[in-house]
Amino acid sequence: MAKKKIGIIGGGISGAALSYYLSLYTGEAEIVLFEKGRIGCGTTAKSAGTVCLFDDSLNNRYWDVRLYGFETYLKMEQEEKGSAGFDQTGTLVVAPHEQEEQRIKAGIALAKAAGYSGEYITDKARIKEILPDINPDNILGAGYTKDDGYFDGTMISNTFVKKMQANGGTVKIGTEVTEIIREGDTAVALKTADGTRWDFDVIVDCTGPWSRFTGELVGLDVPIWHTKAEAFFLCPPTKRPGYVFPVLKYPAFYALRAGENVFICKSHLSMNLDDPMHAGQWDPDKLPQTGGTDDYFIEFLFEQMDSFVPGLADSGLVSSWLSYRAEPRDFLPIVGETPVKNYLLATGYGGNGVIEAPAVSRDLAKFIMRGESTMLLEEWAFKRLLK
Amino acid sequence: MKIAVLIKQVPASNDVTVDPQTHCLIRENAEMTVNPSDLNAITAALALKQQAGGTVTVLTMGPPDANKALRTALAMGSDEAWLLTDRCFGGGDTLGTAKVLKAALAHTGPYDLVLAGDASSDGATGQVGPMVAELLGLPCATDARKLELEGGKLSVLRQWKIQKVRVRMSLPCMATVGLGSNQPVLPTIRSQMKANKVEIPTLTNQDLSLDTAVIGMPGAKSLVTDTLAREGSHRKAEMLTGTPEEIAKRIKELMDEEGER
Repeated sequence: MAKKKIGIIGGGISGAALSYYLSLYTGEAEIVLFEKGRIGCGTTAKSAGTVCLFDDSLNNRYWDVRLYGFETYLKMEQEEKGSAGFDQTGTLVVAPHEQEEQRIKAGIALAKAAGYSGEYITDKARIKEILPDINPDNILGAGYTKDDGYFDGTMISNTFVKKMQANGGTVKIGTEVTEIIREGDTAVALKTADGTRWDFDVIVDCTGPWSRFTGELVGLDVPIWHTKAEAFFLCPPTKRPGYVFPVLKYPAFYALRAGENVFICKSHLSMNLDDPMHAGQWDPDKLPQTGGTDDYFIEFLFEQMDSFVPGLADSGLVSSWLSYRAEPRDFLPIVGETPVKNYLLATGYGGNGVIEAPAVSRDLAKFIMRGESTMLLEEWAFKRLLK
Repeated sequence: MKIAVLIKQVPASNDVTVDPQTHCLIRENAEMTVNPSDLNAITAALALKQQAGGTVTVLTMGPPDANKALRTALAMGSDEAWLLTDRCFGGGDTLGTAKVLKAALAHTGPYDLVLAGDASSDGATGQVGPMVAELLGLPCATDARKLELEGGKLSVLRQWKIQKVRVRMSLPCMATVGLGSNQPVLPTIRSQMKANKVEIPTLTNQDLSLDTAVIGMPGAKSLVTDTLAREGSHRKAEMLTGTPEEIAKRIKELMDEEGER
């Protein structure tokens, strides 16, 4: 049987994971992954990488997706220490109001059902023990687990690619796709910047924030917007030797430790797609490596810190960065078939790529290799956006 | 003690373009930041203020968005900031810049001490500070590593080739502060937010009344005729991935390619 030829554009977490899951169809798939820069070094490198068991901007509706991602990376880490960059700090998810409290409690129940620890704490002194910088007076309580933390998206992407190569796949680093060739309504090949033509049975766009530009190459309008992921690295004013800063989640922002500093970022669900300060359609190639954040973000950050985590309000601003999350209007990814035959998408993860990529890639690989869809693919299909 | 610090807003990375006609940096789309050694100068000024009391005033010449650098300086703890901006200041050489800065220091001063970073990360001439000192008639120590007040004089430990030299200067005086000579003060979220709300006063040539024939492009005594990439700057780093055998094979190929050159 002839091997199915599959070209994957983009070597971030989306493309890297998909290439690996396809490579598990031993002897059936001929995979080429094209990355114009380096593996896992675009938006993936600016991902917070928090994979929390009972809170994420990913709704509890997709909890199995989160669990699958979490356990995939745990196993990766167990296979080879450091390969997923796991930093088990635990997570403290804060409930400022009742609705949030209910959501967290449901998440704890789900985490426990899967065999992980989780507790909802209302004892303010105990919450201060876990996070001394917090103001516990204006919250109802907090969910806490010690089992999860941070995974490194860049490390994971490289591990996936390494495994894919070990399974016989090919990666073309520093290779930009400049043209996608159609025959009628079918994508059949692509060309790279050096003029080489590559024929494929299936082409998958995994370019995230670049997807609108990649879609243009094949005449497809990919309906994603960019929201700004503005992040700061803070140097806390008080050093606490031996203390582990947990992943901290509030509805409007999240924070995690980064060495001795604290990384802090605005939550993507607090972004308004109709606010031009929050969202638009920009060119990710014009993003600076560092800096680029807006002044309004400082005000936002100060208000949040002053009110909720006053111990961090006088932190030094070490550095900052801006990256773009790719979001469809419903904040869910776009996965699977498009109006262009044999041209598939695995994009629009909106900052949840590290969490979602394993489950999505597992299902999408099966769809590509066997034509069998799944409930997840049905819910995140391109066609939902055409309604 | 009144201290002035001259700072410059520079591109945050080396990824900048040069205007092929004027050979000036195109700054419009570049992410800008405070020149690194200017952060050391501000930090040194704040330490001296802590020692002797007084105020720290920062000045920068540049386009209106150079306000961002001034706000960083304010957030670090500087007391006031001035933006020197006028079309006629632009496109000049180091001497033209020094003349504008000298006039601004006279307008906003007098100062007991003027500090600056020892060189900018974009132009890297290291000329402006000493030129300002010369125009003001002040003694100047360059590449200062440590500054202390001793008996009303400024004691400066400076780097000179491979040695360190200590000089003492009567006030008023000027010093340029070396990159890495101290750990720059970090702005905090609180201080940065406060600084972002400060109205920064601007000085134009209407305030400084400089002869436009001696500043900016018309006054430039030196002209950049060409910009050349540093030899080797086109080298690319390549991340080698794959199995150990594949990586070893690629290293061998690269060594062979290098050998053929």
